[in-house]
Amino acid sequence: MRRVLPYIFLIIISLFLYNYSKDTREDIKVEHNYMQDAPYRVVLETYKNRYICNDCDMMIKRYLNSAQVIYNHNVYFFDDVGCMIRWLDRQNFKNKAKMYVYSTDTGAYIDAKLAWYIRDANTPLGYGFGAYETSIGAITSAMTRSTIEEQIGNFKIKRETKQIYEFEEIKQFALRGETLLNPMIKRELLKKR
Amino acid sequence: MNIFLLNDIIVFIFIEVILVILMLISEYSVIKILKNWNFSITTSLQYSLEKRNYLVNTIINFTIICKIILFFFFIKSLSELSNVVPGAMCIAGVIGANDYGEVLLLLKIFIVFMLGIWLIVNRLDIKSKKFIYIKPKYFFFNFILFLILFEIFFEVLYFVNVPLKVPVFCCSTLFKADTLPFGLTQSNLAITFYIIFSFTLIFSYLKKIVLSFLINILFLFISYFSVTYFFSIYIYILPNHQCPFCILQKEYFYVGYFIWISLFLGVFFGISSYIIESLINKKITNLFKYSILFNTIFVLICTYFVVIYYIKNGVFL
Repeated sequence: MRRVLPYIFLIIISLFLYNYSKDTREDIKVEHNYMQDAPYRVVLETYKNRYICNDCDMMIKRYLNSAQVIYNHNVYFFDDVGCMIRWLDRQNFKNKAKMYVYSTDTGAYIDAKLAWYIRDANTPLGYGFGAYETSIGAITSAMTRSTIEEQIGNFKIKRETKQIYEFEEIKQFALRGETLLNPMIKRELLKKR
Repeated sequence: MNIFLLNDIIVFIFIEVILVILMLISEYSVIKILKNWNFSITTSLQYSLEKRNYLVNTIINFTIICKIILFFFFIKSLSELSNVVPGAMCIAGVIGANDYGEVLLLLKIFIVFMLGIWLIVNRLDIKSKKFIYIKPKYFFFNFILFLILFEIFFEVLYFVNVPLKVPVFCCSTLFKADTLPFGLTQSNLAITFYIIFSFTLIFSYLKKIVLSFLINILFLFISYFSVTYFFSIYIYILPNHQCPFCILQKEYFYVGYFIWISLFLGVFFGISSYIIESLINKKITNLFKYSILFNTIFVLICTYFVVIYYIKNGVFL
């Protein structure tokens, strides 16, 4: 008995710990059985749950410019609007799903089709699509990409000249690859005016 | 093929394959010995087996010592690999880059522990002159060989699947925890760590084999958590950086190697008595003094950073 009992004890303890770690920590990519007709309430910065982007498999670390797609009572999470557009384009329910983006100016998830967008925001994957609920918020948004500022030099955009976009336009840009990830587009968007 | 990313990895895989081949060659003799060994008879077969036994012992000894050294080389090459994998700043990112990394690292640590125990059993066997432990020793070797075959399989899978285009998470994200498991706070964790350490000392001093085995395994887990979430911030002198692997890097004077090696040695000597007893039914108590020695070195190194920080700044992080 002395030769086996401690091993059995260890196995029981490790099973308990494994179960504990499974219960306490979870990576969420899709939330099932979501019955409401409103954006899902994401709570970041907890020990228990981590939300993972469906397109790039990275953890959603902040609310800004994150997005979600709701279809058939399933909620899919994304850390970047560009991720959402690219992922949704590959799905067969792309025209039926409901999309929400986190707006920078009002700080809430809003309908993606009603939002205004800019193309030079600082987003996690660098697509650069920043969502705003109000058009004035989008027009007055400042550039935030400090590394690019270093490359091109300081610049200021006149408020009136800042171009803002609707969702369908942004979708075309994302699918054509005309985002900040494209060096030519990046230069064009961020050049000194 | 991602497997040829670095010279280190090519060398590593090459040596691993050679060692496995050597082990498989000796396995042929091991099976023969297990089948026909009888020390009390005087046939020519038995004599040839005894000679063969010495040869096999030498080969296995050599491979085992090589494998133990290779484990540290593995850690070093992972460190190098973190320059290649996007997003990885230390081993944490490289290990977590695909599903096989963590399994491989745990398996490797387990195998190194088992190999160490095999070396001790082997020494006892040769010392006994009549080879009384030869059968359990070689059965145990078969078990280790089985694990090693799994290990090389996982190694190839791991290195082939190292991502080069997708960024990976690294320590700043992986170990970012608002609350520690079981509702521990940092100060509670440190207190638990020192309490369990004192228990390991007491049980080792009293030579309690089973209790020492259990408490040392507990100490291994608690030490991992304490180093990651409490002591590492004093080594980095950064309240937000918690990582058990960055301390292995040059910027921190490779202090991580000393920390982890002393911990593993301390725990190894603490648990090996019981494992040897359950294998060959012989009580060995002279290993506990090494356990006390290495565990104390480990705790002293960890405590040093906290104390130095407190003396310099007058506050804790």
